[in-house]
Amino acid sequence: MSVEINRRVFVKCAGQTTSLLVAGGTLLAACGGKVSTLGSSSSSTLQSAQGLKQSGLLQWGATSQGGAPYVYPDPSDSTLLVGFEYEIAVALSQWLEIQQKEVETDYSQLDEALQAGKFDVILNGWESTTERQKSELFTQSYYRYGQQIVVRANDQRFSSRTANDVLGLKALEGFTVGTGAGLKAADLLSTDSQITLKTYDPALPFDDLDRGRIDAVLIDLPVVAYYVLGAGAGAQADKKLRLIGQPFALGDYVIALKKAAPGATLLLKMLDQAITELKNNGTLHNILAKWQLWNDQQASIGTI
Amino acid sequence: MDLAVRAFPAFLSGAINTVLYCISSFPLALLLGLLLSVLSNSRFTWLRVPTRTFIEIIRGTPMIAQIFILYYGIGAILGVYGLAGLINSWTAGIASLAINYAAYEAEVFRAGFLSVDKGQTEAAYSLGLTRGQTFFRIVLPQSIPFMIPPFVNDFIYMLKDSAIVSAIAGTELTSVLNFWATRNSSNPLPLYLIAIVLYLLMSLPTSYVARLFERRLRAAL
Amino acid sequence: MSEIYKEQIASDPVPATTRLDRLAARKRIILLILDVLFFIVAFVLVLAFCYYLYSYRQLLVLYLPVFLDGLRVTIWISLVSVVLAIIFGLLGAFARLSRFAVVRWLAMIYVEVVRGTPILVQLLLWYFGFGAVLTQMGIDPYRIVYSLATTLQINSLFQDSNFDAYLFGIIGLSFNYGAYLTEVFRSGIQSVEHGQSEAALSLGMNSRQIMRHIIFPQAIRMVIPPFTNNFITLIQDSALLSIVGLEELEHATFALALPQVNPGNKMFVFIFGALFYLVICYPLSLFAHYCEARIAKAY
Repeated sequence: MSVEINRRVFVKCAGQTTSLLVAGGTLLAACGGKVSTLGSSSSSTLQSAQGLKQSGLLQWGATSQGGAPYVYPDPSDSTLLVGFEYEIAVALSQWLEIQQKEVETDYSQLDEALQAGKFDVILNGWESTTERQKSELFTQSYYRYGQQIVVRANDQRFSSRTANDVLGLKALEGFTVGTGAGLKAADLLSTDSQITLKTYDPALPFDDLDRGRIDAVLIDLPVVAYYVLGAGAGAQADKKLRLIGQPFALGDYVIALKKAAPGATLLLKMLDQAITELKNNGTLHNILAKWQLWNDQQASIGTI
Repeated sequence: MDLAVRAFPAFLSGAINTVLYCISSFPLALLLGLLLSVLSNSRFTWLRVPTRTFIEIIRGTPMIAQIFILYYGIGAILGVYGLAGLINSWTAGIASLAINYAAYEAEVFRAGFLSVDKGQTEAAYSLGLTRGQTFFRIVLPQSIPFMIPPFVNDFIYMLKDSAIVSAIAGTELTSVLNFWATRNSSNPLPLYLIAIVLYLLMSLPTSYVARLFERRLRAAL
Repeated sequence: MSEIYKEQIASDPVPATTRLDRLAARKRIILLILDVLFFIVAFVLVLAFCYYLYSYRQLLVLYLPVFLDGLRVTIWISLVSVVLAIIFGLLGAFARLSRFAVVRWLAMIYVEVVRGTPILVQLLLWYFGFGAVLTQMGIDPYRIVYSLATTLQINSLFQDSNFDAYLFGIIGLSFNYGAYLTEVFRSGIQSVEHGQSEAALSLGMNSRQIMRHIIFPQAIRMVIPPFTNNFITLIQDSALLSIVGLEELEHATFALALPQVNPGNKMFVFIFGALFYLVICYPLSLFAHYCEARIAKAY
């Protein structure tokens, strides 16, 4: 009798499993279909002669999360991207007569992802440092930026300072200064022991500055242009804050390539040519002026 | 290697901050969770439904949204009354961690109370004990061995979750790790190793002590 | 006899209400008033929240497609990860309760190391570490799966260039949660009274039958609340997969919220994003309560 029970149980289980498999199979077949062309592959054997992972497509790594005004979702159609770096990427690819595609990556993983070959270049407020030169190639600068100090407009302690003064870290000694985590400003501020540093991740410290929880913010000029000056789609000028001092600790935004990638030197040459062209024909000037990022310091890198 | 030696003091102070955050918020979370689980079993609708809704909302929304609402939302309201100093990264961080984990602990408590044999409560009632006495003297002590593994799970989880305070400018081990890793992106491995070792140092003794307690309590019952 | 009784009752005066009766009646009225008050307050709060959402309706309509896309990614990641995590958890739990000391030790090392290290570090190790190792060995999981899908005529499902991120992200997430679920399942299995398995042994069942017929059904009842907890935490933690570049719900929330300069708008976008998470997690926990109630009825 136990043998018969087992057979019944077995047949029932087998029937259930088969029907499940058949249902799953029909579901998959209904949802999927055959596509004849192979999609983009991450295999390293598909390098083209232009040095791109996929020929005719410049894949650039950036983050759109918290990326105003570099690369961020368009406020009027959030499935599209805007940002001054997005526009630079579009301009570059147009001049090179290829397509461009942003590969969404977390900011902290940009160099790892570049080394792993997830995209061709990094175009996201990237700087050349001695550390990075070991594994990356850099184009010429497309934007000379600096760190900008922002304080409350009604803060009496800074009333003697204006936006044209030449200030440095010393002006912030004895105050609580906020900035974003992982930014160069955080590094700079941590070198001065008389400054109390507060890092924010992922939000930005302007809200706390408004509320009076910190005394000043030191952060890259493009960020200030968006959040305080109100430049760019979806931005609003914040009247409660004001800039003091000219941008200092100047640096250059460059495009980074993986040194060990095949065709890297060729791609580097192409990109450098494209950037020079954009500087000379005024496209870069227009983009920067539109985002209120243009200042006299740009002439020093050849942007007219 | 000398990178590890240079980084170690900063990592150590970050780890101490993490432990401080967790040791302050976990007992609060347990107490609040016990209160919530008792309330959610109440006869009165006006206690039961808000508590259950509160638990579901806190569990169902991401912690970063909660910490922002606490720090910026409630912080702004307190600022109007001049109490802005009450909300800083320490208090908001501990409060947010405690509230979030209390919702999870309430569920663990509920499971624990269900795990005690119903016969025990019936016998207690038949002996004339009140609901309160039955709860505190019969059900609660017997449910503790069952609840210890989930509590330990949650405490170890909180050690990692305390990284959320970096959103409101708090420093703890993960934010120190990120700070150093971005500066030394070509050689992050020693830093990750130090961080992992410190995390293990915090979590292994906890689970060892908890396993000891669990074994002894199980034997006693 | 009964007629006389009825006459007596009819001629008796109405008995006076005792003090206790009046107190009890008052208590019931107060509780009723509190209940009604509570419903009114709840209704007003819900209306206020709906009005709050309505006042931001332009932003709401504008951002809805991005949020829905992120929701799709999050649901997909969470479902696959939880299934894998349950598998890892069951294997781990049985290993922890195994007869062989080596297997027990291995399981304990798995649980302690995976629980003791940050999940972010584990995700990065899987994606950049293990992924790099596979690339060095020349194995490309995307091509393998794509060719398999092509033969099965369903390769349009795998056009996403993010496949590696999905694969390693899901593996990393489920590997991590498998460790937590191991402990949950283990404590559930151990919570069934030993007397049950002793009785089953005396009836002549072997250990596999005991596990299937006696321990498993009773353990499931104990396991559902902590398991639901862990499932909900897993859904929240799927937000970490933005570190490998997946655009899931939290990524969408931040990408839309951070460029907002107006703090009211920023708070709204955060609340709206949190609402989507609630929409996934609240039905889940309702379903779990329902399952618990049904299983409890059996006892």
